[in-house]
Amino acid sequence: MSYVLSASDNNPWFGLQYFQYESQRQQYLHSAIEQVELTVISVAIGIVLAFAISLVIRRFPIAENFTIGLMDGIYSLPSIALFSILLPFTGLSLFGPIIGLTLYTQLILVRGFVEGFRSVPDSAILAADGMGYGKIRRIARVELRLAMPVIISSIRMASVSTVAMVPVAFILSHGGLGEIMTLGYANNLYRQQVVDAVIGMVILAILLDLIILAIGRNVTRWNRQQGLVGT
Amino acid sequence: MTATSDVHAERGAGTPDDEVAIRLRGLHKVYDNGVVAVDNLNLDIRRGELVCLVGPSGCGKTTTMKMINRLIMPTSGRVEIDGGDVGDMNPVQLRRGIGYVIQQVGLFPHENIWNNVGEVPRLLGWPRKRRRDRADELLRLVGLNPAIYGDRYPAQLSGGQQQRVGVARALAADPPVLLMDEPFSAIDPIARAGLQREFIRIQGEVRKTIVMVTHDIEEALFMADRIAVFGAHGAAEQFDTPATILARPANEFVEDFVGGDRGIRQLSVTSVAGTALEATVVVDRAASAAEARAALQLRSRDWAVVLDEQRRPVGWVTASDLPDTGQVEAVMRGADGICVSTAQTLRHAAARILERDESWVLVVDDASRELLGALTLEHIHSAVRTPIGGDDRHDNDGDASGPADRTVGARP
Repeated sequence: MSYVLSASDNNPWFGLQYFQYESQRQQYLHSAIEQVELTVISVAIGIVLAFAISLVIRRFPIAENFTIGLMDGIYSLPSIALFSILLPFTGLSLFGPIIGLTLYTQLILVRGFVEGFRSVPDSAILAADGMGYGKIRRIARVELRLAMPVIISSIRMASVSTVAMVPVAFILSHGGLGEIMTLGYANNLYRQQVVDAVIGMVILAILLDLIILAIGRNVTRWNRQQGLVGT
Repeated sequence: MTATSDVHAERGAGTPDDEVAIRLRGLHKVYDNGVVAVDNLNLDIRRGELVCLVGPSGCGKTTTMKMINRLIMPTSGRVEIDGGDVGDMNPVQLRRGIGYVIQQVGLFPHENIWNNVGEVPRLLGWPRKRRRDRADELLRLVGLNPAIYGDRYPAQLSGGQQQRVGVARALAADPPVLLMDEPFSAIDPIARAGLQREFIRIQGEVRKTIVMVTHDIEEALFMADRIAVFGAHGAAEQFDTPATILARPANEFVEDFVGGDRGIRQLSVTSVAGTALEATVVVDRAASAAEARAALQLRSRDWAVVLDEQRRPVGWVTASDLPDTGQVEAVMRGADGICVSTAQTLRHAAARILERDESWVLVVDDASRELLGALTLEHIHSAVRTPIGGDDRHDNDGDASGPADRTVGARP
């Protein structure tokens, strides 16, 4: 049983009335989980894809401008339009939002990986080669590790922007908390419902950011140690 | 190829195979843009020898070095290490067996000092404990306390300390060959001089075959057993000992590159061992003054060295010091500051002479401290003008020096 707001009802911005119905609590939780799922899956696929693309760019530097340009182009597509374009191909499956969201992460993530690799000191690469690191081992144990500070910050940016992008996927009926928000608009602009959805998204974004920050600090501990003794 | 490198190629070819650690044969490198970096180079580098490749920038010295561990592939020609053609080896495996030190140090910023030193052992699959023990040993060898520096990150060390770690890292898996690309040039001059001295000490302990690239002729003269002077176009103009390069530059290019004051600078690289010495009158410490005076008169000299039973100088006397009666030991002057050893250079000897009122110093054997003879400024002068050849710096201690005059040693 869900609460239907009538135009004459009291309609404050803040409050917990929205959560007094079990069905609405269920719906909110379901949407929040979907929001997290979509964000995590899209960013995860985005990271793998961006890593692969950045390796290609490293190998063929000439591809960089073209690739970044393409990403720029995708990023400038209005998200509503992109999801609409995907609709005939993916239907209402989860693939639609995941494909769309992943594409939007690429501008930030590919840049992050490319700039991250670029930030690796040449001397470390030369030393690694001279010591007898094979190519793959050098990327995994030296370059990726040293690129991590830049990569981590791009991942943080990409996840926050993805959290904000998920609601648009309501077009494919997988909008996460965006669904709650949209329903709130439809429900005579039920202010609490809209605001609660927004608050939920902000909390999710902050939590996700903090988690990645914590992971990042752990894998880049060396980077903070540097400041302790001046050289 | 120049006439000089022909000459030295022939000489190099005469070096017995088992003494040669690294052999470069007809080495040629043309870059894609058509620049000839190395032009038909032949060098034989002996086991345990520190060879400096020196020359102006763009002369191909770094390219030559990088062809040894295959960071650069030669256009033609061969590099052999211990008789094996490196062209046939897996480059990754090859490099794990060659220590490598670069100018920018290139420590891994994300690893602590222990792990940085243990990189190659880790690639070779050594267990953790053995890596740590080896890292500790090497950090101590390069003068860093592992307990203090082991868990620091490279950015927490000074430039000089970082390069010490760089050297330790290169030595970690105990490779027989070390390649060093301007290892000390990014370090401030004061720390650099200390590091160079210390590296010579380390080399004395580890005795690696070392190829070191430098643009600094002073560094090469100071550190190298032999120097290959590269000309402008990737050919070796001369390959010889520092003393010979200073004394007999092969051509005008080498002469210009080595620079002025060659005579003075030659003193720093020429050992006292191998310089002609003058016989001196010696007396036993137990001799009487009368015996000493008789010995001096016989030889028409006015001073004599007083020796102990092991023929080590303990003092000296002049004719006018000697009383009519009594013992030599009672009137002799101390031996402080009048001796140099065969391990020291002519520069030390010259400085010692200039500090004293007398015109000579005594030369003693580095190990036994036994008297070999006296050295005067005239000897130093002639040593610089008619230099000793090839390898005399290392292996002819005392041969060329006249023995001290033993016949005069008077017994009581």
